[in-house]
Amino acid sequence: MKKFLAIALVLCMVFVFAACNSGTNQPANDTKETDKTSTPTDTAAPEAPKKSYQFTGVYEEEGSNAAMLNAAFLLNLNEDGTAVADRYKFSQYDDSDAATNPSFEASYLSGTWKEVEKDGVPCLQIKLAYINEDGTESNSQTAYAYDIAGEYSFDLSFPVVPGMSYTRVASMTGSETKAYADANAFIQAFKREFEAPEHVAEFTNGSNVTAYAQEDGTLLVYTNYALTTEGKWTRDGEGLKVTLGDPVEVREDGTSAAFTYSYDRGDGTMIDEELVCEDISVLGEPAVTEETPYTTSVDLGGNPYTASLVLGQDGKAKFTVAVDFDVDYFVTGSAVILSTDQELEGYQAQIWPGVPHTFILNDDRTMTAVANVWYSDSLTFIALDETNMKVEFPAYSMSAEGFTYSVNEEGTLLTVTAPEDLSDGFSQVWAGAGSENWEVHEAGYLTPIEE
Amino acid sequence: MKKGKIWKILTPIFAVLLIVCIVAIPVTSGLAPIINNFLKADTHKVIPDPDAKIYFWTSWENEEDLVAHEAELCRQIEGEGAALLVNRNNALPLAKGSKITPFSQSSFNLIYGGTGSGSMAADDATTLRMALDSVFGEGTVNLEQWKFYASAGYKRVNAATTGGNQAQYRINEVPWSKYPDALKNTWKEYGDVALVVLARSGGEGADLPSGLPELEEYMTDGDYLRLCKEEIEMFENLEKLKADGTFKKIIVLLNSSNALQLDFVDKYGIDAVLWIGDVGMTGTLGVADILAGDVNPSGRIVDTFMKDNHSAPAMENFGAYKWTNGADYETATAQNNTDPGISKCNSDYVVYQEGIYVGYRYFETRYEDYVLNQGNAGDFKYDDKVAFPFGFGLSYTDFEYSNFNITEKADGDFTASVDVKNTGSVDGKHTVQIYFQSPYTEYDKTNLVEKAAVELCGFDKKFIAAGATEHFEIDISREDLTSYDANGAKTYIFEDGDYYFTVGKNAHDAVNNILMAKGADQSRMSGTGNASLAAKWTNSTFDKTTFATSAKTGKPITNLFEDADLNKYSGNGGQTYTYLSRQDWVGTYPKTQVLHITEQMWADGLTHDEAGHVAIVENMKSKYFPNATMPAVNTPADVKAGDLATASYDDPRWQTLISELPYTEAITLIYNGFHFTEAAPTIGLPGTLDENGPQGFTASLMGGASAMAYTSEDVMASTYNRELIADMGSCIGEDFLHASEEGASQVYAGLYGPGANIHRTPYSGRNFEYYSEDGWLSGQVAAVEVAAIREKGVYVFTKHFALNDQEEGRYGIATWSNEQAIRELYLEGFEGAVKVAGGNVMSSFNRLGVVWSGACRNLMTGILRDEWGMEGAAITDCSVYALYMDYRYGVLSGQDLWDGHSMGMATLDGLDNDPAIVTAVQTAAKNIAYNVTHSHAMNIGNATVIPITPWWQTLIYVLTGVFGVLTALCAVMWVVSSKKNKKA
Repeated sequence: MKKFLAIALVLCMVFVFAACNSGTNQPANDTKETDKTSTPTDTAAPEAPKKSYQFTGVYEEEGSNAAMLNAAFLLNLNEDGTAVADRYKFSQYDDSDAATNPSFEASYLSGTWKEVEKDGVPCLQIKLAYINEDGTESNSQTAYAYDIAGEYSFDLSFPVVPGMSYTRVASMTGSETKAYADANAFIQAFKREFEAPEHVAEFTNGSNVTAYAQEDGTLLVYTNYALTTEGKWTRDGEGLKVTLGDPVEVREDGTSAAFTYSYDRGDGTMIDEELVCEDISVLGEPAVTEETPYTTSVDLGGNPYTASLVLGQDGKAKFTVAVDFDVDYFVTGSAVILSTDQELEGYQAQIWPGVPHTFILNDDRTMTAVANVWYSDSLTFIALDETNMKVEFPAYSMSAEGFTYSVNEEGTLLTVTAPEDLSDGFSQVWAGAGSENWEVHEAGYLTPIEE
Repeated sequence: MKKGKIWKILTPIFAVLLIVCIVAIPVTSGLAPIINNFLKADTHKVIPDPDAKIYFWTSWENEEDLVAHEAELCRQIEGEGAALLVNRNNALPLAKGSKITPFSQSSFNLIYGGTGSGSMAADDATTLRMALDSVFGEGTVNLEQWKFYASAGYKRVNAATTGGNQAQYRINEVPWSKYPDALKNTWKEYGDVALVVLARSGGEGADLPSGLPELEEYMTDGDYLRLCKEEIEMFENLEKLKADGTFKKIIVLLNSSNALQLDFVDKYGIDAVLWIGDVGMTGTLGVADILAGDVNPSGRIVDTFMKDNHSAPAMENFGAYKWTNGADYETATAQNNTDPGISKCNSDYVVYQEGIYVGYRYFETRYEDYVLNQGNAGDFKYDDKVAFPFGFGLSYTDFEYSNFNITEKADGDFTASVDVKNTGSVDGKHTVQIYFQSPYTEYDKTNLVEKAAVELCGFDKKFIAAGATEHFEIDISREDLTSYDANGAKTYIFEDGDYYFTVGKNAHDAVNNILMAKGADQSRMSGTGNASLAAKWTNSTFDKTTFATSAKTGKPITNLFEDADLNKYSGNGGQTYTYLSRQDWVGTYPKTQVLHITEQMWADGLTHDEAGHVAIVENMKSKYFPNATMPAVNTPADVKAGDLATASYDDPRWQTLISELPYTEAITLIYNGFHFTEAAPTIGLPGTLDENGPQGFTASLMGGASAMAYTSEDVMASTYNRELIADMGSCIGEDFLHASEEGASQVYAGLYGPGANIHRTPYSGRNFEYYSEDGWLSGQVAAVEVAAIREKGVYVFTKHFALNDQEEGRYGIATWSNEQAIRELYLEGFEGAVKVAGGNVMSSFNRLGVVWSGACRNLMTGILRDEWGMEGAAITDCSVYALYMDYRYGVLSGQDLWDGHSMGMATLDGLDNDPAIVTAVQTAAKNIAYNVTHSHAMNIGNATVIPITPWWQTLIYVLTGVFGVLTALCAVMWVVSSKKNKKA
């Protein structure tokens, strides 16, 4: 009796799984699930074309949403007149066997093909469509591939979401040559290697979410290989601090540290991931690099804005206040002079005249706007406001404040008055290299006017 | 195996499967609409009423006849819409038997329609070669040239619909060096005509590049609407080939709905230029008809074609401009409806600083002021800027006007009459265009009311045989002569002073007639005018009351868009600008505006956090529903949807019907409108399917095949032929009737289109979906088309309401304009579709000021319902993931149906005890039900709509039950066998 019952239960299970499977099965004429790898078969139809063609194409775009779209396509125009397009998505960097690879979609699009003469021109007519679960078609397309120097090409339109018109286009090229014997060969040919960003430490949930801590204090969070959040990290005597838009709580335990990363799954559902770094000892103070911008706050139309300056090579810098400016720069002493000879338009034309172009560059990567900066062969003149000036002698890292100055209306004559309490050292410098009157040349260069 | 071990294995297996099924039930339930749509799973079953009345009958029992008629109709529309711009020495028409060599890769790869949701399947479209061979005779086209383009490997590239950008556009013309000598040897044989096709595509998602530095390699100055270097090279060589006799004529076809910069048509030995727009399925045959002289061209352009596209003032503020402090607010714009994070659609703005001076309203008005030496018009060289004025178009014959007269009727409207003689030797159709000029007074200057030098106010088109004269009488509505005064009267005014009416062959001709009537200095004029074709009419009374009340609804008309005008918006933080004014053209010419977000802007609409949304909702409730009481909900009654198929919108039974709905069923109706409407079984309301326009019932969005795609909308408008448009509208309606499968639970009943935004600049990606730069003309055409479609029982959502005149930044871009421009330009197209034709609208992605259009109650209720009397539903543009299109905002404003799903944004859930929300939800549900019940979906009569569980849900339930039983059974057996084992 018990054996009978067990057999009955097993039969029930078989029945249930069969039912379950039939619920998701494709119609008999659909090869979607039955032939996971869609390489051509020998089952030629009685009226099949004699030839076969193989096409490949790649779609890639940048952007946070691109991961779900970037893919390679393999289209086989089979001898039996069927056309089958497989898709291999790059986003998960999975190059495992096609039969079980979730990034590989066999028969992503399918249909028929034939040789035709369209409007007087011989070509391949390729009909493809997305086959829905119930066997109906959507995103049907008829494409014509023309022979261009022995190679055929056409644009494959594929849906962002099956059934919707929002599509992308992959340029397909192909010929009678069968470059890829099967789906696995295709995957191996088109697979991508994930390149993690440069980093000094990583926090991970052990599977699909990793935050890469970069040397300069940047924290890049990747979810399923896609950059999802950019934040900051710092570490000082008070411990490790992480900011992902807002500060997040970091839990340190010996040499390890962890924090919770919350992100929107895409449908409004928030997911929490515990990201752990086993060894944070490598995280010292974030290094200052050439790419670390100098920053300050400037007033723009009554509103405070952060101005940042990244000094590049060859006297070129990126200056940012609401918008980016590609400018020329000249560093003299602790000051920098920004200039541009470009014809500015739009935002740039309106913003540039209203922001300072001369700054003192501070060691902590901040900068201080100053009224003006001039320089001679050996001295730097920093106008702190409309009357007061600081003079630097960069060769000996010497400087003195308390100078006053004036500029004539034409801007061609700078008059500088040294303070009476000038230190002995700087008095010698001023006596040797200074002057009361200076002729102002292009770009703030000064030459002394002999008394 | 040990006794009982199998039960120990099976029990947890079944238990796990049971848990999976149990979890799957609520999870999939939340996603049910999407899954149903994806799987095409029926959710309800309709049992037809045996006594059903057929409300909407087809006029085409034989579908093949309908298809044939539509193909011919598209050909006719193109034949009457294509505008002949240049025809030197009567280069056209061409003799039958002419041999033609096509030039440009676009001649092989013609533009039949735009891209995006309005795209069409052009696989079966009639190609240019097929059309030419059909009309001129087999072998007309140089086949070797045709084959060359097929295999040359050069192809035009459009920007992607979503996630795309301007930098993706490419012309990709074949360089001259690529033409092989063998091919060149065929040209002489096909040398009657070098037929050059210049094509520029547009589409949803990205405007056309108008000066992108990164595209300078591919197009002149990175401007897509200028000739690229390969095209210039082609023309230079064709000019030489014409000189050496290889080609006799150079004919150019302008295959674009975006006006190319026509600074080249007087060069390169070009003999003729024919603008053809986007041609639809069979429009090439209409083009061939014109080339062959079988059809005399009668199209008149609906945009100003410029010699310098950047000379239009709107170009100074065209694009998506980032708030300068957007980073402080973490603003973001998602360009893709599949993109998470779309809730932050608040990073961009655009300022319509040119006010009413768009298209010919700018060029002709500044021109008049230049001629009259007023308004600081500066050294305005009209001829350097305008290539062809609005309304321009040549014919193979000439028409002469006489006896122009204007008569005031007893009701205050006017009749313009004129005799038109065909003085040529061939028959032809002719469009009479009536323009008016209203006085620009001191009152206007004081109150900042702007006046265009001429405005189109009437047209008619007739066939006139060679040598014959036809008399035209065209009605002009006084209402169309009013101006909106946003500062003084704060309503429409009809001013005292001198009005001029004129019949002009185009807008420039019209203003010249008026200038001659005014005795202007001819030495400053461009072209000549005829004073006898202008009539002056003087109004002695300033009228600010007659048009201050809606003639349709009787409700007052006053300012509604002060918050969309940054100068008037209280939260502007001191940011203001000056609109372009004819008081000082030079001094008020627009400049690119730099703006920042203020705290009030954020609180009033830009906010993307829930707390901010809640605050806005509470404010709306207290403002618009201050005394809301809880209406009856889920109250059984005998009224069913079928009873109200012919009921008026005011019928009290509507409230009874809607009160029967449970709250959840009502919000399900509202939430889920992604190309369908949900059924509401409680009230016997069937679900429907909706489809995309605007070129016809193109079935594009859901990936289906086209029924019929007509020309782009600008070609439709340029026919100036209301009968043709009405025929087309009727056929689109017929396509809906024929598309629905017999016995299907849902029929195709709603159309997303036509588009009625305007061509603010030539560079908008969707100009092919909009009629014209002129809002009034757009409204006239939309009124005819929408009415004709509706007569077949199809509800029509004219889109994109409103001020969605560009693609850049369209998701949530803050659009600033002024009330006069909004009403006189941007709403007029929709007014025709709604007020005249009784249609509905699709609200737009953008914001008016900082408020999303669907949440702007002054727009969705104030204009649509209070002023225009709209009945039925307004749908949103695609709302998938668009959290800024908050359901709460919408229903409180007059927005009814969402073109999406509630996934991740079901903000009406759980508000069934909120009287204001429930009241608004019931109004929205009523509006949706009104649409459906007044469509051909009700041809089923008072049918029974039975909700059914979709097959996939049934499967889950069955599996849950089976696994439950098996788990229990195995557990029992496990326990029993364990006890027996212990005993043993």
